[in-house]
Amino acid sequence: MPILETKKITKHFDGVYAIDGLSVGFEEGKITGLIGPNGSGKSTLINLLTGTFPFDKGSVVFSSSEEVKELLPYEVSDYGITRTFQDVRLFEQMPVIDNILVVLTKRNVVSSLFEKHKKFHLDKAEEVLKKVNLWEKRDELAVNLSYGQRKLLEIGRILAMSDGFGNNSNIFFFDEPFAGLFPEMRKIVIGVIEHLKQQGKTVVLVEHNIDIIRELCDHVIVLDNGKLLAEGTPDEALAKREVMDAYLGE
Amino acid sequence: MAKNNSIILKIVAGLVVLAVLYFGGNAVFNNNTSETGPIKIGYIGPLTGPSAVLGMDAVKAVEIAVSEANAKGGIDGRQIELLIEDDQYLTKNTVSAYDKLVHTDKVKILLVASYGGMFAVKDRALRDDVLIINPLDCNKDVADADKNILCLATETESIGRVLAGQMLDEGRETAGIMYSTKDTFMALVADSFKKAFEAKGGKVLVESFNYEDDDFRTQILKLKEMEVFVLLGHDEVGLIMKQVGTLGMDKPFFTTGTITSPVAQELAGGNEEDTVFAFWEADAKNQKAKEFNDKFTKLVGRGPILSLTTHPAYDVVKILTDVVLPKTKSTDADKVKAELLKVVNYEGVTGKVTFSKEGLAPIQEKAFRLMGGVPVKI
Amino acid sequence: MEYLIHIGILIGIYSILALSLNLTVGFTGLLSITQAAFYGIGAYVTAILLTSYGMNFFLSILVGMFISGVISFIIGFVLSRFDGDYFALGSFGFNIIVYSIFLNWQSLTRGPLGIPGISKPELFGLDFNENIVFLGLVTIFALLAYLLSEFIVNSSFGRVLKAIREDEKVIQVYGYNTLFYKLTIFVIGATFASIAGAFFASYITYVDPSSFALSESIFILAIIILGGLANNKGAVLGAFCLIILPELLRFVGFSSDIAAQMRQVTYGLILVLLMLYRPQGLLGEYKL
Repeated sequence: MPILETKKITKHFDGVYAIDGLSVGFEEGKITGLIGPNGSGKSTLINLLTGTFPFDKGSVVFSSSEEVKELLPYEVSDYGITRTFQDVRLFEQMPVIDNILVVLTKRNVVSSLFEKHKKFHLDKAEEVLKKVNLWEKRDELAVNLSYGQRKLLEIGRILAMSDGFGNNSNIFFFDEPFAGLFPEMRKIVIGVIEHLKQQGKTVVLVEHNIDIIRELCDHVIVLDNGKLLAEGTPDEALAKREVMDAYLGE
Repeated sequence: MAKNNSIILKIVAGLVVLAVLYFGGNAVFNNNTSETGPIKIGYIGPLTGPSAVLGMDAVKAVEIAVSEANAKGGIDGRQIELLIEDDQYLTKNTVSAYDKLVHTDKVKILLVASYGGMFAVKDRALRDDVLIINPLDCNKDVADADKNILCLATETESIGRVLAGQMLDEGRETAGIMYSTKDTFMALVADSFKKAFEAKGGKVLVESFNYEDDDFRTQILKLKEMEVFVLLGHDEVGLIMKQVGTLGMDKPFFTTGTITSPVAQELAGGNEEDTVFAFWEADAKNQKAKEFNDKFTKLVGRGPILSLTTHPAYDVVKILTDVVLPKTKSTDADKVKAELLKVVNYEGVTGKVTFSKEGLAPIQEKAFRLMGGVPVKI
Repeated sequence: MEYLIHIGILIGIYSILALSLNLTVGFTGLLSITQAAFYGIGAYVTAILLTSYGMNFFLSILVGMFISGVISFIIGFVLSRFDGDYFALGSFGFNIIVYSIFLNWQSLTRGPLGIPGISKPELFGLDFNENIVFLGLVTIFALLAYLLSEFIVNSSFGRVLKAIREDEKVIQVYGYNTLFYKLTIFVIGATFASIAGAFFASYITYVDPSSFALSESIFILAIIILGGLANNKGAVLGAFCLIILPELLRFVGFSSDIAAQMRQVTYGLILVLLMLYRPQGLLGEYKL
């Protein structure tokens, strides 16, 4: 049963269709890989589903049968959606621990003014940072971290969204989380994704590395030119002629 | 980073302690209001900033007066010390300058040129027994302000009255006023003109403009039905005159002495001819004024830009050094004021000076016409 | 000593202004050039209520805060449509509009003639006519402003403000309706500024539009940049430095011919040097 489905969703920029009448679904509790050549619309799709851009046409349906024609950025987390960014967007001039705490705290202006640091916030932040190996760096400003550490911090941030304090996120969009990471760091990220699956969360993974796709994903959606090219299990999808052509044509 | 911050804070704390010791010690030990040190006179006015023209020449005039007095041996052997502070015509700076001169330098007689600043310090002057003399603006508000504020200056209201009077003499019935909001002065002139003109049945429409504006067509068009344009501003008045011409209107202009500025006339591009304006200049037969002008030119390299800033300031100091202080032998505000109020028909560079019992010695402006770039008395 | 007390009072007033601006610019990243407008509104409200209606000073502060609060809520809402440079331009425009109102609504403000004769505060028979007592009062309010600012920025709310400064789009995706946060801090900043205005009016005893022009907003911005953005101690230190510096220069022995001009040059030079060698400001860690 798809937890999230798009219905003929369309987005164009200056006449070029980045996403063209796309209807796809993401199964609950599964890891879905979202692949395709450069410019196929993978990041655009994530941006549409996380409120970064409005969609021109179409709608999004949630498992609750709620259909929406518009997603505002600060509403997406109410639908349980969270994400990382391809270009790693952290709160640079804030310490590592604050990057985590800010997603753990109340989303309400008045309550957040009077909210004190509760022990469980700090405990949760510690747990998350230890998972991504950044606890030692907790007082360091995010801008001073290495590239790999920055990616891990972003992963840690959305991990912190998963356990009920900030919001109980259950749909996780990872936008090329493995790019530029050393093997040890990759293992950490894989560990996080598998942990999320164990918790019954839904993961959507945009990734170029086919081995990782085969290793992690239950289902694969292949996009090309903003349209659905193929879908199925990793083996099924990747074996299709049109998929191979699309990648070779790259 | 934290270490740097704590060093910085320690340095600041150290400076604060030093300052308190210096000023506190000064207050306790240094009571130089003694009868043997120099006699101090202070001047606060705009020496820099957009209104600098109102103060920079006045300061030279005051310096000349002081050096003349000192050359004659001062007062009973005591030299006059002139202390000058710049306030950029900004009220809070006038207050700072006042506090510095009165409480640190122990000055009891101040010339204050900034209109708003004068109001800001008037209560302080009363409390501190300080006498304030305004050498730039003399008007009803100054008179009402305080018993410790006197003035020897062109009377702002006279400008409005002179212009209104001339207009009424010419049989004009309607006037469009455009005034600059750069400082209080032009607003006061606009106000006094309006009162004087309306009192005799004239009709007035008023528009204002910002000092930095260079397009006045909106205001000009709003006033186009009026017979005469009354332009109250600085060099930009020339620009307004030009734009009136460009819009195809042929209106007589009435303005203030700022039209004598070569820049204003150049901007007007010929439209300034025949303009009526309120102006004050020293009487050509006034020998003292001639001598002063020569001394000024020798010191500064040119004549004063605006005589209404220099001549009254010069006369204020001359009256103090030649008439008042030799009698009082001190700068006690009450004594000095009492002697000033006794001054009748002192022959100064501004003409014959008499202080009224409220402490005003206003200088009346007169109507002139600009002919060939030269002011001609009407 | 009176002179020092005077400087102390100005430092107190400008500290409140700097703290207020730091909340919006330093911590939230909203490049606001509106502070002089709310400062002026507070000053004029106090001036008018005290001279025309004999109202108590402390009550006039509350009225000023309310009026500033309402206006800043509306303006903040309008300006929130814009980002970065456009926000700055819009706030610039608002400052100019308010200045024009001070200048032209003459039946209310007396325009360029200003409002003289504003009295000092009075409370339960205790008057604040003595400058040293007034200094005490200003210091108390400045301290309260500092403590309140610290409370705000160290709370979860403050953390969200910093995240908005860093990357507003991202913090929205994590579930924050940033408009409410920006509006709230903008209103808080405006009400602080109006308190400073009330003190200014009562202390100087005279208000006129020239004290609240655009240049004043820029001066307050310079204070927090010099002191260090996003640092409340820095805001106070910046106020201290920029108020003291021109006063100190009065004592430097330039020849009287050029003293005034030399002071301006020296002042400018010192600021330029400070920015060259410490661009993050004296106590700052964050560069604009």
